[in-house]
Amino acid sequence: MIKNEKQYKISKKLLGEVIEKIGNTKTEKDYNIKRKLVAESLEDFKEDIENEIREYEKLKSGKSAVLKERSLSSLPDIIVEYKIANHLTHKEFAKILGLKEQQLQRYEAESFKTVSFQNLMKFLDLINLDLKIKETVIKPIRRNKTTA
Amino acid sequence: MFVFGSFTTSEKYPNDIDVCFDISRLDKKKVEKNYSMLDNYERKRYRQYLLVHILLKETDDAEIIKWMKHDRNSNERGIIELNLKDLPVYDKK
Repeated sequence: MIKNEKQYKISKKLLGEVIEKIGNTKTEKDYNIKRKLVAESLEDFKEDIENEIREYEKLKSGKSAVLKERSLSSLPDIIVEYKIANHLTHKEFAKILGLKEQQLQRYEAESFKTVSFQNLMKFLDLINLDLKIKETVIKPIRRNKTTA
Repeated sequence: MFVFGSFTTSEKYPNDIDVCFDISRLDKKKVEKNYSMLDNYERKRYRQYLLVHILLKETDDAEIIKWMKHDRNSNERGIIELNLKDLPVYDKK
């Protein structure tokens, strides 16, 4: 996930280089099966970067008002997305979360994965995010039957 | 084979696994025969089910190594090179 303008610019530059590399690979004189595989794998790489750029631009433009469905493990990304969507600087966002700027930078570098559950809940509350789990049936555990 | 990305950092919870295979020494005929092992469909499956992202390179693809060696902030990072021939399970045939 692209988290800030610096990463956005670097990703755009990288995308340009990857596109150029794909073009060069495909137009090589000796374009054989191996070069074809290299080009195809680079297309995947390009797609990944494009998706990340698109996602960041969408968040920044405010067009992505609804946060996407996600797994619990990527829940902390919401905090970074909130910052991007609101065009907040590190300083402003650190103030909202009651953190020092350096601490926020550290958390952000780790995608907030090292934050304790208690703090994560606090941050989500501070940015007014209400999280609910859909009504779900709890599957009973299958117990092994013991034979006498 | 090279391993790069979050798995080669001190990150406590790395994400997907990024690998790059150097296929320069592979025999073209063998590659043709086993093309389906690394084609679009198979790579998508590795990605979807094993969370492994595969890049392929040949010896002269220096840019790919450069990309692997830099993180999103353009800082240098380490990559791990594994010589698959050194692995005991490697089938020389």
